[in-house]
Amino acid sequence: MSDLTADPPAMEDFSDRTVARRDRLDLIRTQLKATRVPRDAFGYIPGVGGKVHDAYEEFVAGCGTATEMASETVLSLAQAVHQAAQALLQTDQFNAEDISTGGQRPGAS
Amino acid sequence: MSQQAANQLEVWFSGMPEMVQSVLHEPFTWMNESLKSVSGDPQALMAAVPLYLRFADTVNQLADDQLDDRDQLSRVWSGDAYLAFDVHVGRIDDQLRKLADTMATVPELLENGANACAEAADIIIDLVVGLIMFVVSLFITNLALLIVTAGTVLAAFVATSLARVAIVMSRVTRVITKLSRLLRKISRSLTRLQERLDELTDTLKSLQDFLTDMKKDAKDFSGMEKIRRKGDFHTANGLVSFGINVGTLGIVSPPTTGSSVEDAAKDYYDAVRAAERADDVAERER
Repeated sequence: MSDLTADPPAMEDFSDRTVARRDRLDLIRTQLKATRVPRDAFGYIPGVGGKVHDAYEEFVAGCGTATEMASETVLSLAQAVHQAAQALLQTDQFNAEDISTGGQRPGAS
Repeated sequence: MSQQAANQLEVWFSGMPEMVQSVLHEPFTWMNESLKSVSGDPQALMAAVPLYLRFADTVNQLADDQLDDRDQLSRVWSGDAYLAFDVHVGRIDDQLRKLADTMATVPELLENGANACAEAADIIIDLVVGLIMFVVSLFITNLALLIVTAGTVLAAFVATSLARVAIVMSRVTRVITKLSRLLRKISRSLTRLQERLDELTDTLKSLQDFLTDMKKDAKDFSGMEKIRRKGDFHTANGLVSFGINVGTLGIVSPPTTGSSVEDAAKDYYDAVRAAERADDVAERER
């Protein structure tokens, strides 16, 4: 196991900034949905125009899904770091109490 | 724009002499429909170009920011949890870069599509206008002769016009074929990008699963770390007691908290960590 150093407030800052990044990804996802082109944007040569448009529509939908997943993953990262920071704070608090009571916790069996 | 050109062409054609309209009616209708079918909406396609470039820039910027923040955090955070975090940030960064690259590829496809549609429409307009002008000039040239040798000249006019019509129609067909080929290529490229996005989404999904585990680990870490530190505290306490005991030749013998509890705590912690490492190795081997 490697040595442990941690700065929970800095971790919380990272988490907050990551949530802000998630918000920007969500905004992109919303804007992506609006980036449509008319059905006849690629013309309507029989068997071609509609096919290109369908491929474009599927791409836009895929882009939206990928961006949504990126947004959720970034949020999970933020939450994981937040949890880690909280866990460290709780541990520090536990240890501080431990030291002050000389290892004998009130009510501990 | 090209749709407007097609409409203007119709208006222009309807003002032509009756004889010219009669000879060219069907070919003109077919070519004008062809013009409409290739025109598309280049303006709508071009309007989407800067949006995709902006999306790609923003995603890259977000990835850069994430790496900067990670670097700052690396100065104050170390240990196994940080290493796991670092790996995940790296993987998320990879996927964000891929997403940005994919988004940045679309403008080129849209531009190619818009330019190809506009170019095809322009060529067809030129061909149709050229054909009409040819037939009109032929008509005017033969108009004088028509009075002298009515039937023969009329037949020659129609035959010459239709010969030119055939040439122009074959050129229009070539233009449509060329555009169709390019649009199919764009369609395949978009499908490949879509497949890349599917892979990216799958990778992000599995990353999210890892992160869910990491969140769980962070919760568990709190309990495990308490046990480990409790073990460390008792070990240190025991060593200090032993030092005082030796230093005072046994005159002072402070009480320790007992080694069996601390050993059990450390063994439990080490066993859990070893199991986690084994899981990690197994995961990597998969």
